[in-house]
Amino acid sequence: MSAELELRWLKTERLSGTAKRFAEFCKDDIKKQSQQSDFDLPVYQDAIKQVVENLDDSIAIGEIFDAD
Amino acid sequence: MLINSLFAENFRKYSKLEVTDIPANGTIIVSGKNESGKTSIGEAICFALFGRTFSLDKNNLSKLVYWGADAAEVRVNFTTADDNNFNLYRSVDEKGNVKVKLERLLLGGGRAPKALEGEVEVSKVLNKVIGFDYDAFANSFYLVQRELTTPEPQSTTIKKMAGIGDYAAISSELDDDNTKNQDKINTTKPEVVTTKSSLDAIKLDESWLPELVDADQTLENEKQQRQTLLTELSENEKQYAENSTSFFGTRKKRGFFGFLSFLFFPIMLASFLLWMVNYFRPKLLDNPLINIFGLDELANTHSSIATWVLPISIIAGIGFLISLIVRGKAKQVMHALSGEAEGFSKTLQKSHGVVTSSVESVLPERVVSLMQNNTATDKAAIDSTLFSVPPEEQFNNLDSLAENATAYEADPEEINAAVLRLSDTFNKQNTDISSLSKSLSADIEKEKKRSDGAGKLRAKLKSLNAVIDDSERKIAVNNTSMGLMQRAAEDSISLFNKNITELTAKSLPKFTEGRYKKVRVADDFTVQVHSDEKRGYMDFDEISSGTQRQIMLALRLAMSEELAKNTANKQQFIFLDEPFAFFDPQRTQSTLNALPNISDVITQVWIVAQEFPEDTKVDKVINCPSDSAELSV
Repeated sequence: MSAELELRWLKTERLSGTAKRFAEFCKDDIKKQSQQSDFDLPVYQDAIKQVVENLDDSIAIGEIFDAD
Repeated sequence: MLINSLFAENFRKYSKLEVTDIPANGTIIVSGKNESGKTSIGEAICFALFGRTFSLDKNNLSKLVYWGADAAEVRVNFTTADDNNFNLYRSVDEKGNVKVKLERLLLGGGRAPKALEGEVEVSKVLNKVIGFDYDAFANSFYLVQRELTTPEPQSTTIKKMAGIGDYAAISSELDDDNTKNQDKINTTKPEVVTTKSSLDAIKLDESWLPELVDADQTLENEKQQRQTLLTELSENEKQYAENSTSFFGTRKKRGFFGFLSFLFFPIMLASFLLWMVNYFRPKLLDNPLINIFGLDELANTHSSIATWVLPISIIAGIGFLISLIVRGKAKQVMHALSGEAEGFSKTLQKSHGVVTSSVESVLPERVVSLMQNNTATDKAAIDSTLFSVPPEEQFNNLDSLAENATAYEADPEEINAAVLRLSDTFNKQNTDISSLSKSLSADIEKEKKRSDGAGKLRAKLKSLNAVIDDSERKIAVNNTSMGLMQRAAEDSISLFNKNITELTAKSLPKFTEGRYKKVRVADDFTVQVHSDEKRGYMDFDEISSGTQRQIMLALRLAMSEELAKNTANKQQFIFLDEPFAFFDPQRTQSTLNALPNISDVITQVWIVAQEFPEDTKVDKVINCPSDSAELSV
């Protein structure tokens, strides 16, 4: 499997909760989806980024409670 | 999320409540008689976290204020998954006004510089910090016995527990975005068609403008060339007349000094030889054979020779040298003048070539054709310059003049006349070329405007196509995102059902003393329990209500564990209010023993009951007094 299909840029260890589970799912899902003739890797990657950004509600606690 | 301490003032039945040193792992029992304030402890936690209780919503909070007091206040200290420690303050006065503050405690002690205040801001951050909202909390980590029923499969809470709670909201947003993008495409496509038509209507030939510009430059070059020749001719013609006089004067001078050198050289040589003979072989002069002229007296007077002949030789030598130098200088001057004459000759020849060539031959065919058809073009200019050349006979002597001029043999008068004819013709041709240039410049401007117009339309077309491409890609990405979430949701639900089935199967035998070991949870949360006795699965309503409650408790605990995992809570508290109301003493005991050990995530278990068996293993006991409004444990 090519490096691109391994989604190495998708660091599941930096995510938590639903975002982490979704990212882990994508790493498996791409193996099946990439078999499809109309599979578009850049679109697929952008779709993952889009969903992960929406799911990842981890916040920088330190920054919130730092003085302005 | 784990609770470390709880403080309340004038809250419900308590004028003062202090619960400290709450263990992170273990069972905390809350016991007491009816109306002793057991439930108030759970309500205090719920109020602090979400600004409401199980029974009182945000509109009835004033009922939480202790009888006779102005306001109730609760403070909870808790730790989140990432080991951040917070103090959460919430108060409500008798008019129902709520104040809330969230502050972060630093690892080394003290508080972070900024505290959050206000319901909206605190609620937003708190939701992210602890990972769940009131609905999820009330359906999982805050279980009241009377609510232990089968969960609604399509509820937001169940979706949140399964880790797919956000998918629906994200999908809905993406769907809206797709509609907007499709609208954008639908609006833009007709614009593309219109713009394309406008562009086609221009019928722009991309090579035409460069050709016109090149032609204009060619005309400019032609004009410049004639102008340069005019200047050169004018300067050279005057110079030729002056140089001609100078050339012939210098030639005379050269001839004269050539003659002098021819004269001085033998004198110098003869006198020098005579002096040498007289000096070194004087006797030779005494020889009658030599003295053929009978210069007896002269020959005998060697001293006279020595005196006169040497100076004569020196003077002749000096004369010879001067003649040579002057002659050489004259030769140089003549050479320079010849060079200038050759330059002038070349200018004449070049002028001859230029003046007798037509501009047409150097312009592109299409440009010539345009000029012929262009009514704005000066017809006279076309006739005289573009297509016609001056009569050859006007300049037929130019070649011979040019040839003779190299040796200054051409008559300056004739040169002057030829230069005048050339100058007149060049001036006329330049006037004609200027006229052509003017007409061509107008065509260039016109073509530039057409080209600019086409350029703008092309840019617009590019931008419109970019909008369509961008929108189409966004739709493709959104559709892929929705497909991904759909598959991820199915995967999560499948995993969720599998996990809660396994977790329930882990706790149920402990709660039922081994009577029931396995459950089967369908996608719609229909629960069946396996009976060893009947060797098969039984429907939920086939079993006793007490067992139903035990199964539900096991199921809810499993779901709570899943929610904790999906909200990144590595350790989580759970508050069970009267969970054993329908349990017999044996099952109460076995459930109590099992609860602290059934999960690695649900580690802090609060259990509320009127009384607990005496040998119950607990980590903290909170006995609510029925005769006091103060409690400190």
